Amino acid sequence: MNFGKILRVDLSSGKIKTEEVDKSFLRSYIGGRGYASRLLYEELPAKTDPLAPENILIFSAGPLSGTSAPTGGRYMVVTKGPLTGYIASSNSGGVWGAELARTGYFLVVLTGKAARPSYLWIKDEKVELRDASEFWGLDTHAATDALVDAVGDPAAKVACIGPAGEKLAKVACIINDKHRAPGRSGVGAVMGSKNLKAVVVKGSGKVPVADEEAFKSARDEALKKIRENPVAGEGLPAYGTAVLVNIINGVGSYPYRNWQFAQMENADAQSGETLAKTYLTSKRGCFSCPIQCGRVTSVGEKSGEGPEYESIWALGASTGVEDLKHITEANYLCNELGIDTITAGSTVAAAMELYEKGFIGKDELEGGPELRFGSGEALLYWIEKMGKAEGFGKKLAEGSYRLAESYGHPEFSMSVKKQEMPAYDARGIQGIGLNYATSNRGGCHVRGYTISPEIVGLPEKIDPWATEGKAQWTKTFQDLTAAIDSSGMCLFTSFALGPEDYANLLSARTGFDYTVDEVLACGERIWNLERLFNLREGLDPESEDTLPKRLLEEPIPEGPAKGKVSRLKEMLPEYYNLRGWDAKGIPTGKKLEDLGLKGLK
Amino acid sequence: MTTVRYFGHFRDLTKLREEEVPGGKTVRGLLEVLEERYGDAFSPAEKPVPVSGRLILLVNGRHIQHLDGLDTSLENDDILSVFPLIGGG
Ligand code: SF4
Repeated sequence: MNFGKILRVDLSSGKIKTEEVDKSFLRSYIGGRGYASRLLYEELPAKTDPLAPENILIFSAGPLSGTSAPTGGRYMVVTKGPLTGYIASSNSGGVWGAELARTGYFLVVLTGKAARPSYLWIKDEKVELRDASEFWGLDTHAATDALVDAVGDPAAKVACIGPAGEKLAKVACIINDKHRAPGRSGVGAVMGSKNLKAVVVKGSGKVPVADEEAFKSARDEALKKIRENPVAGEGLPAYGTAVLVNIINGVGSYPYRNWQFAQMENADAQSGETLAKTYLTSKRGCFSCPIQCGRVTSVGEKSGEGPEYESIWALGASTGVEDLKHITEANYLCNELGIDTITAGSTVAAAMELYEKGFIGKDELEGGPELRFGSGEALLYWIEKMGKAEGFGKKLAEGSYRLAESYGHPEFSMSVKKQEMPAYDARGIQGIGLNYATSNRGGCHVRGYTISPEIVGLPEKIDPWATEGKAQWTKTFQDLTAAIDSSGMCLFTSFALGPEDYANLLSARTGFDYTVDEVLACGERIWNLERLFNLREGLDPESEDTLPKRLLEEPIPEGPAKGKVSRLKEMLPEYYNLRGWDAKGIPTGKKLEDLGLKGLK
Repeated sequence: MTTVRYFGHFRDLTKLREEEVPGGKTVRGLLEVLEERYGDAFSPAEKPVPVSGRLILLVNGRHIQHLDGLDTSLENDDILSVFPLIGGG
């Protein structure tokens, strides 16, 4: 079976080489997130500065990327993240990942630092490192258009950084296909530190499949399940992700004003329902996706995609900004500058709290709008400064943790492992708090989306206020998600599909004959490997597998979940135990042996 | 009187965001009233598709499954929020 090749580019010397994938790694790590994490673990020396040339930046497709599997167009960016100092592992959709797979390269491994701004142009097997001086400084949209022109192929796909990545902002993301992002942990800054503006791809090959017949039947089965599922088949296509605003606000767990509150009076003004009646122009999906959850919008002269739920929350509720117009404009700005919306909005929110409480002085703002909760003007102004790392924006570009810490008050950063948490209050939804605290890339919802059972009721409804059983749900979701992220499919399929569907698709594609247990075991192996990576980088579980003090000690002041705090301490020991880790959160020798991870350095 | 809030396509169906509905002593009773007014979408029947597979129902912000399900009683001034089954992230 042809799995595609590994492309290695040393940006310092310009040397390019290719190698075969290791089939046994592929089997035990699936691809995408798993394979790339294994490679990073083996090749990156411990304690490497994330922004030093020695850091390794990996773009990785999964075995199903570029196939006709539903949502089979995803890819991962794996590196050591400058925001967290731990593993960065960012997933993205659009069409770029599928295009990469069709070039015949499955993994692009970038090391070193180019002597001048450069971009990588991959056209099928042909690879060139080219001068990008004339594109340096361009925002992601202008750069994408200019690069497509420059390579002379209108069908080429671009993943690039904007000004934020160039300035090494720790809030920087990568943007592919103009509107999609491997968003989190500062991956855009790693690209900037390598003087790499973009990776442009064009593939004309067909991703091969080991067993055509079995693949077709697994695909048809998965498609049927997706179409018949109320969330994947109806809810997401009809409303996109933004429809969550009203429900999360309804249960009183929609963090408001930097998590000082958990309900927003007029949340409906920024809901998916309101978006549909105001700025929505059409829907769009990623490669080979039957769900089509993307929203195309326009405001005045500008148009773009989104905002998605998490972005609406971060740029809106978290900063206290109600108006969907400001939120949509801020979202466009983030995409153009190449900054992560969750971290950007949360950092502005932390700055607002620091300002209102008198820690940030007015003089520091150099005449810019005051950082007051609810100010759309401040939001837009400071996002721009953050993305360009100008003036006070330089401090914002470091993310909320470093910002708040620089004033002696890290507790105002609503982050875990220095990465900002997303849009669900862990005091009113206990399981998601355990997930935030244990996520290998810091505060994040898409490592283990327990919102699905805790709020939506899929695959079954469990009580968001209870702690019982949450350790098991968290572990299962984390492991399954690691497998899905490695496959090249989108996490949203998991509303409708179970491990057997992924096992069938992967088996037909690779010829490996995965069982359900094996798929979950691959996920668990990946999870543990990421944990080992973080421990090697100096992770202290006792002080870092935790949540901000506000969530542990300050009860929700209002609404249906009034009085609740996160009861993380009740869940964490059980979680460690289920993981086969010792009481300090370190994987035991037995667990590592079972997973085939024993003997890793 | 129960305040009923509609979300998602239920707003299009009812042409309302919110209304006061008399007569429902329980969630089931109230859904029967709504079914009468607006059709099957609000049916409290568990077949062909169970209620939990179609609707997310919150009484005062709490999912009915963690109260008394469809038998959850409704007092004056209670708020019933009706969402389609939705997700995202
Ligand atoms: S479900 Fe949404 S995010 Fe996932 S692949 Fe489809 S359009 Fe993209």
